[in-house]
Amino acid sequence: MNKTKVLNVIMMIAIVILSVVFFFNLVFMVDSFKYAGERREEKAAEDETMVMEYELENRAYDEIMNTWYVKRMSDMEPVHGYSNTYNIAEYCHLAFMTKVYEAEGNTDRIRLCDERKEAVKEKLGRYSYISDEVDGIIDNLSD
Amino acid sequence: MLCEKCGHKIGVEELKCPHCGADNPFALQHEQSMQQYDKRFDKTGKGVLERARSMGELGVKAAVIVILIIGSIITSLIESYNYSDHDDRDTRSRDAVKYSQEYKAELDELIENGEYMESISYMYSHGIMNSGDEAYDELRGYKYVASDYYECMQYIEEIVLRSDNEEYFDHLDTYISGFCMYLEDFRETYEVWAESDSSVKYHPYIQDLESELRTAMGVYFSMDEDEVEEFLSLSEAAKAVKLEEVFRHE
Repeated sequence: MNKTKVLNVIMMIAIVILSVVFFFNLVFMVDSFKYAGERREEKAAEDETMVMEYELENRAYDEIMNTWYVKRMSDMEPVHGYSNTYNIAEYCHLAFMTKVYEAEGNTDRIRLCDERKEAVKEKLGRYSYISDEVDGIIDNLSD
Repeated sequence: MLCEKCGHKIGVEELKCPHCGADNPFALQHEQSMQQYDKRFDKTGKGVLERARSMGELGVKAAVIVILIIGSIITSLIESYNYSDHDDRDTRSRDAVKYSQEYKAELDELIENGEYMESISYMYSHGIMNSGDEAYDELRGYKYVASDYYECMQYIEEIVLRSDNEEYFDHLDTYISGFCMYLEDFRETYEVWAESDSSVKYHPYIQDLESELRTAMGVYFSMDEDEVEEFLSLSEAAKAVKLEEVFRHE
């Protein structure tokens, strides 16, 4: 077999492999447009709600707070699907800080914290039960 | 030329003498040479054409390969772009410069109200944390100390509010080591910036950060002031061991 024929065979193999790769890339690319379009926000919201529910079931408020801190590095206000995470984490943070201000005897900040806690509590909706749970955890540890 | 037999003049390419009919050996040899030349010429021509055709095919195949590679790269790039969260970091950086006065005023309000964690989130989300704009120069010391404070407080919060379900992931070790690491960083940056001339305006807040962090440790690690002081004097590893004892009740 001369060099040209060998080269021909190698190129044919390369074309076949690249065609398969290109075809799959094309399919994935078309699928990615669907994701980038209408599904992205809904999917993110669905995923976030599922994850948050699971974390709440396990009282893993640390994970919810971590999500909050990470998200707030780019968005101070909740983006689509994250409002419950933001509210729960903010309540946790306020409850945590209240104990610190109480130990400092900083009445102004305690009052501010209490006011904000009440405002957040109202936004918790069906998750309002977490306020007692979080207060309980914090009281238990700080006492 | 002359015929070898009759001596009459004949053409070089005439195969026989038109006068006596004798063979012209020069013309015969010439004829044979021409035939051989034609054969070789045809063979060479065919070879050249064959080679050109096969090289042409290789060229087409190479072009197809290049097009497929470029196509695969482009589709992959489009796909990853569609799946990625588009970061508008550049816009934030530009806005941090453009609205520096407004941003600084809002930040100062948060700091004056003691909302230190909020102030750090604000700095991250508004591109101030990595902005080199001179409008934020004064904030530099506060920014460094407060960002370490932010990490420490976040870790304490996560330690306090971690899941009590034994079946769930246990992150306590990670949180404790993260906290101890950032606590060391905090103490170093605090020493540098607490009395630095470049951030005089923020000295009271930097000192407040330190005092608040001590208070938080006292409250949530169940330590009095002396125990906090003793805890702070430990090495990073010894601090982690101490916290393990506190939270695992070892």
